[in-house]
Amino acid sequence: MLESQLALYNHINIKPDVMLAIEIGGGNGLQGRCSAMYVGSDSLTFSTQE
Amino acid sequence: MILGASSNMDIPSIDGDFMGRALPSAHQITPVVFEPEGAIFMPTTMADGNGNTMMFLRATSEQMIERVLRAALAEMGSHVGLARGPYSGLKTKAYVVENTISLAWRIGRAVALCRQTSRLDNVAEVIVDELGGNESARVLFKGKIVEVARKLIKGHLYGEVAIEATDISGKGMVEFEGKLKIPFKNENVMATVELDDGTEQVRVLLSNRS
Repeated sequence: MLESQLALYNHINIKPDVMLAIEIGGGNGLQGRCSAMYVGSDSLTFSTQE
Repeated sequence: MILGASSNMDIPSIDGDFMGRALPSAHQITPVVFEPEGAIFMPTTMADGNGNTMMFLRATSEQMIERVLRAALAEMGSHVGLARGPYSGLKTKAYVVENTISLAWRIGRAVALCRQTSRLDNVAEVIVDELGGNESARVLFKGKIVEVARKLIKGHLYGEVAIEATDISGKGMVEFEGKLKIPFKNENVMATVELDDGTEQVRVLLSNRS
């Protein structure tokens, strides 16, 4: 899910401290899922809201 | 998690967005309203997480970006990640619909409190109170979902949900009459009520200019 952000930041040559993403969309049952990647470390966390 | 960036990492977050409510297409935003010519958030990238990434470097308009990416996402399994190019703080301040993040947080808190205190019968009224009372919102209908129809066409989910008036509280009282129908294109488009005598009334309409 964060691949698009990685590609964008690589293209404009910016290294953000953190990237956040929220899933939205109609009726796919995936709404509310959030992703975070802390750039510069190996940690990758996911959490799902109710 | 957006607010978590502020509390955990001391990164400012913006209490607002460019829509103010859910709309079905990505170009239906305030920056396009105020600056309708040309593409705004460039470059734009989209990835499906399965090894396919595409990058949009130039475009004639935000609407063209929406049309092209929507067609591509339909081919990529209708589930993609999208990242838009940077936007200035000055223009964000000029065009943002303010307080939508905190409003969503207040609505979520109200619903959570209703669940904790077993007051789900009144959750609609509680949400109206959080939105500012009867001057800002009202309860359109209460009932039971009896039908949901969905059809995926070119990356958009079209369909209609039907809600039949019923006794929600279990006190032998039906507050509303008939059947509420909500057609949607990803997001709710309008709400009509089919009354018991067969007549139909429009209760809410999202116009093209909304």
